[in-house]
Amino acid sequence: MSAMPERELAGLVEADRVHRRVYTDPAIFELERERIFGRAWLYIGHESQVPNAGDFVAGRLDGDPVLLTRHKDGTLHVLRNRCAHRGAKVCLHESGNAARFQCPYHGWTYDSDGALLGVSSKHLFPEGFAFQGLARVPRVAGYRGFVFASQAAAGPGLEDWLGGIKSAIDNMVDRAPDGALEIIPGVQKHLFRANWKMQIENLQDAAHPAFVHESSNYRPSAEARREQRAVRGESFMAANAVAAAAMDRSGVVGFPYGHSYLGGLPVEMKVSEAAAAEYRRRLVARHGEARTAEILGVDRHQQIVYPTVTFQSLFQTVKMIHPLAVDRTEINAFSFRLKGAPDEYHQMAITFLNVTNSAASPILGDDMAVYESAQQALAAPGAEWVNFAAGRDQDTAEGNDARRGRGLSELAMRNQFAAWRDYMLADARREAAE
Amino acid sequence: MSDAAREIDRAEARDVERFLYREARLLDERRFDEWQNLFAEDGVYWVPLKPEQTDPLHHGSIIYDDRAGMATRFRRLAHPRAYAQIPPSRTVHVVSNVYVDAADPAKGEIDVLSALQVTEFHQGEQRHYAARCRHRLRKANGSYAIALKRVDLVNCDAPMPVISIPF
Repeated sequence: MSAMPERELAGLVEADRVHRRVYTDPAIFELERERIFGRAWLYIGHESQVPNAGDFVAGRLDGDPVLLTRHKDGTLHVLRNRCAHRGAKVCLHESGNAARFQCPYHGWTYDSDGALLGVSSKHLFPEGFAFQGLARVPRVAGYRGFVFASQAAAGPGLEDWLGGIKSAIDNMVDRAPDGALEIIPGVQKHLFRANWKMQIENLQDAAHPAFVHESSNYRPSAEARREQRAVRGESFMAANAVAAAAMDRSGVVGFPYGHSYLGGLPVEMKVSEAAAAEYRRRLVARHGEARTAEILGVDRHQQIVYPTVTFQSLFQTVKMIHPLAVDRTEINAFSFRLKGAPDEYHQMAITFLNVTNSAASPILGDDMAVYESAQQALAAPGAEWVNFAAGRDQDTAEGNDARRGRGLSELAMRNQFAAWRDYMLADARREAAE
Repeated sequence: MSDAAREIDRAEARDVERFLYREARLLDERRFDEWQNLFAEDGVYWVPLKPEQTDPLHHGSIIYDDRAGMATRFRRLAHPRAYAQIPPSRTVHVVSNVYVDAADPAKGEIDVLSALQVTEFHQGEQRHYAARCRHRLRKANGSYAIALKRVDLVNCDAPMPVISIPF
């Protein structure tokens, strides 16, 4: 079925290195669309975007237009935004509330669960014509408000697939005194001319900030930090300035299906003491002292739900990776409000989002520059391999199915490529077994 | 309006234009320290993330910098290993349609609207930005200090490549 022999594909990924073609070959990107994005659970949206019956929000499923809707019976649906008649989008709005979707082309109408309601010139269609509703994405499932969809009719269920990384979502939701999150409007969007995997590798690469972010790493004096009680951006850059030893202590944990998290870096939470005390009081009122300490004790920097979404629970930031082409990627980042938390926490999430994920972020710009330079250099033959060997011999098993590495280990990338290989070669393995 | 008042008005408009042109030139010449010193101590530089955005604290922004934020931004740009600026961008900021919108004599502040076009050349690629700007200028020492510069990009909510140089 593919032009690329499975043996050739298998030879591109080894235990601690990958061939440059996995970043640069358009044929491999097409196979990734089919075998990774076509199978994995992909994050679509959050239930707080569609709180009421009839609410909808436009989303993207592996680049294709979909609608996340809430039907009148309260159920959530992910529908292809494509009229069953001649293919036009039935909805041109980003979000809203609609009793039905009417295609602008010939007026066919659909209910918010995708069912076909009405057809124009129906008397002209042949007897027994098989009218269709909007195509539904084969599998849709939510976990604590986060809605995922899979284009594969069969495969592991969402919760099994998330496995150990469910804790990323759990901790973000648990930090809300009212037990729920609400999306904050405003999406930070940026583009870079490099392969999507550059981004997902970088997010758990604790070794790069000392180099890539040398220009923005800045640790204000203790006195200056005391004076800046307000919600401020600089404190977020200070975390990149910590010594390599502290980065190494943070640790990285990898799970099946490519998921992983990097332990906490000393990012200072710039909220007032009064707001922090009030926040804690509200959490204790809900959970009690012991459970509150446990929730606030979860200290993680970045958490990856492979292949395309990441969570930073400490700042309620979620980042979606939209691969556009083998050498073009779009990132969308947004943040959530912890329902029931003091307003300063809301403002802190916004400040963090602006400083770390705006196209004008002084931190992110240097990451993009490195991805793009790597993409250009990897296009050339001569040196064929990209290496991820750091920490390989120091990784240890954790629990039943996880691996733990030091913070500066390249465990997360090895873990991602193990999953990549599984996704890409699943057909070959199945055929071999038959 | 009396002739004398109209004359003062014209003089003000001319001063405001000259101030905005000088501001644009400082950015094009990468004189970022001088540029940030045009701002008042409590001055803010704001590039909203959505059209007609009213709240910078509860909604994301492309940039929402106070003076400390600007200082951090330009400390980085002055660093020899700010990789996104190797080689440095070249820009031309074109300011036009300058219009004194409102004045608050009690505070000594005037609001100035303008249109802005920025062309940036970086890494072999030329990019174009267009924006409507609002400056809130405070009279100070015979010139102005910027209390607020708000830049509404026409494509503020589009995915964008890295932005290094202020608009």
